[in-house]
Amino acid sequence: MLHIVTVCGLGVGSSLILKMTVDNVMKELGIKCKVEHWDMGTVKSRNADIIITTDGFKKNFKGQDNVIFVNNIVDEAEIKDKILSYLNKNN
Amino acid sequence: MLSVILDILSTPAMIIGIVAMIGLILQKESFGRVLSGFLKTALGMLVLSAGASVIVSEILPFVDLFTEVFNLSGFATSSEAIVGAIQTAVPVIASTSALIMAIGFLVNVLLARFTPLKYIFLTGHMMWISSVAIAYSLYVAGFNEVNIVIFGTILQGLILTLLPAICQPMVRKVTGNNNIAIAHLTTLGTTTSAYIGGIFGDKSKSAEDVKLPETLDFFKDTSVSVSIVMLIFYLIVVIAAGPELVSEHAGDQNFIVFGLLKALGFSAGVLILLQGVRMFLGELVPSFKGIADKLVPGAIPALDVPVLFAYAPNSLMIGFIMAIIGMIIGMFASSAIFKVTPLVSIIGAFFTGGVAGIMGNATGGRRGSVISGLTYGFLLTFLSGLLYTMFDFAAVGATGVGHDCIDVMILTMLLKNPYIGILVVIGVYILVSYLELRYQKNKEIESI
Repeated sequence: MLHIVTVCGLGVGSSLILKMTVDNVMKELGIKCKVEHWDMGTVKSRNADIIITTDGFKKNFKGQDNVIFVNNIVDEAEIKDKILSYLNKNN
Repeated sequence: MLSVILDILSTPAMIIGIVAMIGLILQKESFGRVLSGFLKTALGMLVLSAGASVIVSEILPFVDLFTEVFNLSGFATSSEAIVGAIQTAVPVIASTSALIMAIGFLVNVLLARFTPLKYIFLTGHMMWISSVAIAYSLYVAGFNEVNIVIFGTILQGLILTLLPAICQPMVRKVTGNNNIAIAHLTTLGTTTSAYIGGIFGDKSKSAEDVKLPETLDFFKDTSVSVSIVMLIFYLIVVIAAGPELVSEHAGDQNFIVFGLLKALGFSAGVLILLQGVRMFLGELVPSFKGIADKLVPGAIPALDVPVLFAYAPNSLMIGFIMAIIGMIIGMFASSAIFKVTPLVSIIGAFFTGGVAGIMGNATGGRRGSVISGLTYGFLLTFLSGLLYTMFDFAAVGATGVGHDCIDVMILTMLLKNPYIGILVVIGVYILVSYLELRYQKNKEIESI
C-alpha cells in the first residue's frame, strides 16, 4: 500500500489539513494508501513513498525525488493534478 | 458503579476521546476506526500532560536561580506550555476546557452559518489553547463548572469565528483572494503591527524584490530553536549564579552541565507535548472539518499561519529577525517596569513575527515589514510580562511559563471582569460583522 506523508514545521497545523485534503483526493482517485502527517524533524529520520508538503519547504528536501510541493493546502484540484502527474511519471 | 463511570467520563482524556468517537461515528466510519480514533485521542491528551510535567520540572530550577540572581521573575513564553501545565494541574480546568473546545467548535459552525462571518477555525492547537485559557479565566473568576462550560463555549465560538474575520482584510492583501483565512491566536498582535507598519512604510517598495541570505532556515525546526534559546538563557543564569547556588538544585553535578541538561530537558518536554497535541488533533480536526463541511458549505476555511509563508518569504525572514529584536526590547522593558522577565520565544518570532512581517510588507513594503515585526515582538513580550503581574499563574501549576499568544493575553486581561469581557467580545463581533457585510456588499456592486 502506498505510504504518503504530509509534512509541515510543527506537524500539527498545515500538515494535518493537507493530510485531510490528500485523503479526499486519494479516495476520489480510488487509490489505496496510508496517509500520515509528520513534522520536519520526524520526516528527516524516516522515509515514505511520497512526501507532500508546501512550497516553503523546497529547500529542506533538496536532492530528494519523492516529494510533491503544493501551493494551496485546501485546493483538491491542484493536489489531484500534482499527484496524478507524479504517479504517471514514476509508474 | 455509577460513580466509577462518572469518574472515568469526567477525565479530559476521556471527554476528548468521546468527542472524537462521536465525530467518527457521525461520519459512518468502521468500528475499528472509531475505536482507534477514541484511543489515539485519549492517548494524545495523556502524552500532552506528560510533556507539560516535564516542561515545568525542567524550568523550575531556572526560575529559582533567575529570581535569586537578578531579583526578577523570569519565565519562558509558550502558550502551549502554560496551558498544558494549567490543564495538568487543575482537573476542573482540564475537563471544562475539553467540553469548551468541542462544543465551542459547534458554536463556531452555527455562527458561520447564521452570521456574516463565514469562517471555520481549523487550527487545532490554537483551539485547544484558547479553550484552556477561557476555562482558566472563568475558573479564577469563581464560576462553577456548569457556568464555565456555558459561558466558555459561547466565548470560544465567538472568538474562533471573529479572529479570522479581523485579519482577513490583511490576508486578502497578501494572497490576492478571499479563499483562505488565518486561524491563529496572535491575530490582534499581527494585524495591529501591520497597520502601524502601513502607516510608516512605503507599499511600493516590496521586501520581495530584495535578495536575502538563507542561512536562518534551521530555526523552522522546533527542537533546534527551542533548544538554542533555552541553552543560551540557562547558561547565562547558571554562570551568573555560580556553582554554589546551582548545587542546591544540581547536587554533585557540575553546574554548567546541569544548566545544559535542564535546557535540553525543557526542549524534550516541548517535543513530547507537541507529539501529544499532534495525536489528538489528528483525530479531532478531521471530524470537525467533516461536520463543518456538511453544515456550512462554502464557508472560508481559516488555517494555520504557514499558509501565508510562500507568498512573501523575504518578508517572513524580516519579520522573524525584527520580532526577535522587538522581543528583546520588550523583555528589558518588562523587567524594568513590571519586574518580570519574559524570555524571547524563537518559535513565536518565526511563525508569528514572520506573519507580522508578511502583512507589514503588504501594507507598507519593506519598511512596513521591519516596523511591523519590531512592533509585534515588543508587544508580545511586553504584554506577556504585564499579564504575568495581573494573575497568579503559579497557583494553577504554571510556574516559570507564560503566554506568547497575544490574543489570549488580551482576552485573559479582558476577562478579569468576565461580564465586561464577554460584552466587549460580543460588541466587537457585531462591529466586525457590520464591516464584513459592507465588504460583501461592495464586492457584489463591483462584480455587476
